[in-house]
Amino acid sequence: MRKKLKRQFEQRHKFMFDINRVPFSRRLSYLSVDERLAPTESGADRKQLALIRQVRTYGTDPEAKRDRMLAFRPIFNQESIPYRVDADPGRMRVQTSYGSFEVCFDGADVIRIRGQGLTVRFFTKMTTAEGAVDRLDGTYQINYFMHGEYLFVPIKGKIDFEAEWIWESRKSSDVLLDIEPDESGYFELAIHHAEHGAERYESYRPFEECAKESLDDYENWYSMYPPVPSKYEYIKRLSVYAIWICQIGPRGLITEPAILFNKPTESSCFSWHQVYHAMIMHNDVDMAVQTLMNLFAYQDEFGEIADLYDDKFNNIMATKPPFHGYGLLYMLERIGDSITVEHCKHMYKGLSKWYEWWMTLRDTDNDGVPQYNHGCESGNDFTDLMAKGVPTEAPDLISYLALLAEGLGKLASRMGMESESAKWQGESERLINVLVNEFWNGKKFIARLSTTHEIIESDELEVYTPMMLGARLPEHIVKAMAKDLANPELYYTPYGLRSRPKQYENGQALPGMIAGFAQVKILPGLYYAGEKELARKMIAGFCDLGAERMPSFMFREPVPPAPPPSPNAGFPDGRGGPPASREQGPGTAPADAPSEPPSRGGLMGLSALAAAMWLDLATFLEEIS
Amino acid sequence: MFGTKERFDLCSLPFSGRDSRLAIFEDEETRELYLTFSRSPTPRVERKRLIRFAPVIDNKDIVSWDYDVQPGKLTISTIKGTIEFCFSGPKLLRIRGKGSVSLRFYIRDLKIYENASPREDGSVEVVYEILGKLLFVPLKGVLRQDSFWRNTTARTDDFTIDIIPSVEAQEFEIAVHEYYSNGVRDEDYPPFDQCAERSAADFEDFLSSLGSYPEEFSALVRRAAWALWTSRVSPESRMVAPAYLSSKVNLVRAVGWEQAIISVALMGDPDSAYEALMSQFAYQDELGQIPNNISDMGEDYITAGAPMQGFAISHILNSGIMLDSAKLEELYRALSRYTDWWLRARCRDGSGVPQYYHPEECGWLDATVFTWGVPLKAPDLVSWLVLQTEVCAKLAEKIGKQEEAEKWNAESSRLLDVLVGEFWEDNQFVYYNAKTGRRFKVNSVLRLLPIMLGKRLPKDIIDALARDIADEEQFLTDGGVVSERLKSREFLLDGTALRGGVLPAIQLILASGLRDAGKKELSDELARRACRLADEMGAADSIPPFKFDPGTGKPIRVEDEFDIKWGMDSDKDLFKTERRDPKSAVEWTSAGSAGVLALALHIGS
Repeated sequence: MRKKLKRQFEQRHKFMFDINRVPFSRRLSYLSVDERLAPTESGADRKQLALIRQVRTYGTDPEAKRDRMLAFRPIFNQESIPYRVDADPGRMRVQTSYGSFEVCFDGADVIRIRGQGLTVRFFTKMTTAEGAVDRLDGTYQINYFMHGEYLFVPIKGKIDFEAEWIWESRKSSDVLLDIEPDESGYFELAIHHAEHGAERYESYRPFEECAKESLDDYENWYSMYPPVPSKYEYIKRLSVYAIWICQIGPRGLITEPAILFNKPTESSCFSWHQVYHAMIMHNDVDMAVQTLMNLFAYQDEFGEIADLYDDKFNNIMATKPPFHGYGLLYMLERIGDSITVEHCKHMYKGLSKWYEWWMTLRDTDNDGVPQYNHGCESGNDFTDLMAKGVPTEAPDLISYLALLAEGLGKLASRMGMESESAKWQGESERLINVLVNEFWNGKKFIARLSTTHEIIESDELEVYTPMMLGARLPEHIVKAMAKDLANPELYYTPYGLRSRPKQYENGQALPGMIAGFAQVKILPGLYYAGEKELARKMIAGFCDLGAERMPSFMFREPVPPAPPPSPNAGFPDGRGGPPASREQGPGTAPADAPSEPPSRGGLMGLSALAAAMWLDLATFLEEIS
Repeated sequence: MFGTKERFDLCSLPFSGRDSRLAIFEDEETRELYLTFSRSPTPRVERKRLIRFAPVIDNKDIVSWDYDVQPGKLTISTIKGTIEFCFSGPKLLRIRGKGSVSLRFYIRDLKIYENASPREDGSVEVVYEILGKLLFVPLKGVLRQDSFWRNTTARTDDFTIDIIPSVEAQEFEIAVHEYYSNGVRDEDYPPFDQCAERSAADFEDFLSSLGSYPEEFSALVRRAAWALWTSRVSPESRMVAPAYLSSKVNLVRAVGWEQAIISVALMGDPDSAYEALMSQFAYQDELGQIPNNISDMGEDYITAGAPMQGFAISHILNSGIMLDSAKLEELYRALSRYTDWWLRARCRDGSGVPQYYHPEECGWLDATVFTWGVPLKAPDLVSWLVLQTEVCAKLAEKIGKQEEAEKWNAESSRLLDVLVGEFWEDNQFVYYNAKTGRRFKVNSVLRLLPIMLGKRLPKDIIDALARDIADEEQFLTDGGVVSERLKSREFLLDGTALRGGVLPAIQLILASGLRDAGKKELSDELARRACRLADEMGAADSIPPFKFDPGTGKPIRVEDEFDIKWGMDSDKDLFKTERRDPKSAVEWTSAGSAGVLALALHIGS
């Protein structure tokens, strides 16, 4: 009840959020502030605020992977004091009985803190080779392995700094830094962050100006998105915020802004996530096109784009599905009028190479049918479609590429390249024919091994991905698929499609997993295939679930009574984990788990991906209503 | 050169190719051979024992082997035949077998998502996260592999790749392509012998370009040159200029100050020397700072790097090496900005005396001079900058910037005055904590480094330094000057960088300065001792001066300095503590080898 009242209040007033759901941050910044259990100088852990610059290290050494966080908390007379925190996109406010302080961003690389009546204490642990030093000019520097350099600049008030080099251990001691008020009772601090070479400014803009700038930037970003049903307005605001804070760059390898998976834990931009984002940037076509094509700037000479990418590492061990065709067609339908020939040229160049890569390096038996070499390439890392090994030719991949070819045909046509356009359309139709003639077993779609063409059957929802093709498929196939999808004993739930047919244990229905990816690609196709009410109901159900529990990229199906949530929140690097049971499917802790403050972040928060998938469906719902 | 029957083997130096990111080494405890990437997201290679391989007979038994490394190839000999390896350019490893022996690769312990997939032509691609990809292409004989992607664990199961000779011809050949994202086999492959010979010829050209050396050290020079030659990597990804990794299988980073020492070793070929010097400046930021170290995984600026470029350029120019005016301009531009950075960003207290903010900035993380903390005012830093500013002046003059030359000369003089006036006390150089002003004496060899200034120093200081350097009660041993006073409480050889070992780079600095100061005999003696030590023990960054511990009489054990903190994963045992016996006591690194080469050249000149 309290939650509901709180939400109503929030809706009536300006947009505010809980930093335990999504951290305080801003667009283009690598910094974020959240609340978590963190060490203090006494050796005990304490719930406090934490400033981090997230990094994916790829090292196996736990020390290398540890979050380098600057934990901070209010103190009075050297004692920690209780506090309340709330935030809007412009500022974060911390209130105590003694005084208060506020935090905002001064551009992407500087945190500003101002307050009165108390001291703010920062504490951080250090490891080998990391250092902290008094620059002897009033400012203080902390250097972390891979996480960059922080520079503390007191604008008002006094800094008390404690750190020393422990030469036997070859590292700095833990660092303690207090910002205390001056005689006026006020303090103000700037914390600069840089990969290296942080320098103070000669002068600092007023705090209010900085806070307003962030807020305005958020509002501007918000205006890109089309409407959702009015009851979802708050969740839309929150989802847009979750996405806004995740656009980062340029820095290091990232040459133009791209969108992270989430803050503060998933420090990479996944190539196919960008499609989910681009699909809904209706009111800024430049941003939509740029976002769709994020990561194509790093496309290799063979045409492949990375699975995930960040400012430090290009992870092209695998890739992700060519979902770009779906996204492109979706965009052409809705904002096609704003898409210029220049946009088309830009997209055509990268996307056509992308297509060629799939049809060459991923068609090693040269039969004109593309394959996956790797679980990650399907987007479903543990997919059954590869239960007999790799390479595997799969119906979802053929569908993605059929749509990509069609999209390329449309782009070519817009550029006046009619013969290429016809070629692409022909290619699209060829793939659909292959799909229908070689991958439909009379009842559903199957996969097969490359070379031997040994059949692989699966009841994973993935085999219904061709529903994306809608009326491009023969009617009997569409009908057969729709029948399965509508069947509550198979995939139907009022909240969306389950990843696997319904399971029972000792007569008790087990909750399935409802994956956002699948809803976004299948439900609109189901709608356009004529199952309008069915599709609308599931989309609305999914959106309601997201609004109730906060959007997640996967939900556990509400089935009374629900068993306790799985303790396994996925792998340390947050990329999902093996199925805890066969019913569950891949992924992390579902979003019906209690929303305690996460001790170290983790995927309990609202990711930009989950936000985008929810918005994809909520905006579609508004369209069809 | 290196081999099972030689003094040094693949435990102390990997077999790699010029510019290649693959390397083969031997695990000294198990004596197993491994193929690994010279690429890691962390500075130290964490997954060093990546792909074990072995010669096999009758498709099941590993047969014992000896091996021999020559510049062009590695040859493994067994009773049933031989297997040879050579590098053909930076991205290709060629392997040939003769006889009935086959070759087995063990692909094990893949991380989640790592994968292998076969291709229609019989080749197989193995992909590692962030490390890279390998394509095993059979050319002669048969490639058999049993990889299986297990979807429930989202990784490929452990498997083997067997290369089996054809029965009639009794030979096999494969090509192993290394790449980062995608690769395909070549249309055709030049003959194995041609590749090996070309590689060997490239090395011999390199060796002969270095200069002349005393005959006594020809074997040492050959080995050190090989170590240096193979440590180079070509530009790729984040790396935009060729540079020399510290090691191909341990510290896979090109460390900034080490490139300066390497450039001195390479000065027989001015283009190579210049390339090494400039390699770090390709990453110079707008404030003038350059990274501490780089690789194709990125640049690390966690600290600055010791400004040794002035010393290196000074040494090179003094040896009569000529650089064309375009190079001089580029060098001036880069160096002046970097020197400005040191004088500004490391001198923020208005004292006019530059400081180290972090121990790594002196070159060595465990230097005992940091006992009293940071920021630290240090005579070695002031000395580096005396040389650096002086070199800026010389370069400015050469390119016609007279006014700037005068400014740099004035700064150089000022810094020299500061050094002599504020840092010399009781016949030694002292250190200051910049914050408290506390002054203290040290036992570290760093206090001897101001000898690098040679005749610029007053005579009494030169004499006092030379006395200390030559004093066998203090620093001098049969193997050269140790990095911490022999009687210091902090003297420690196990797992340290600058607490007792003999550093070829430091010997070079001392020898160079002594000669410039007129102490040629001592200079040459120092160089000879260090070269003999390296000949005996190996050209490491820091060579133990004794084979046996003076206290216990037991053989010196040398542990990797970072094994406790980096990559220690005891569950998987991926990176163990390395304990070596005196035979292959130390690892041949690029800086160690370059230091040794420069010393040998020094004696010869």
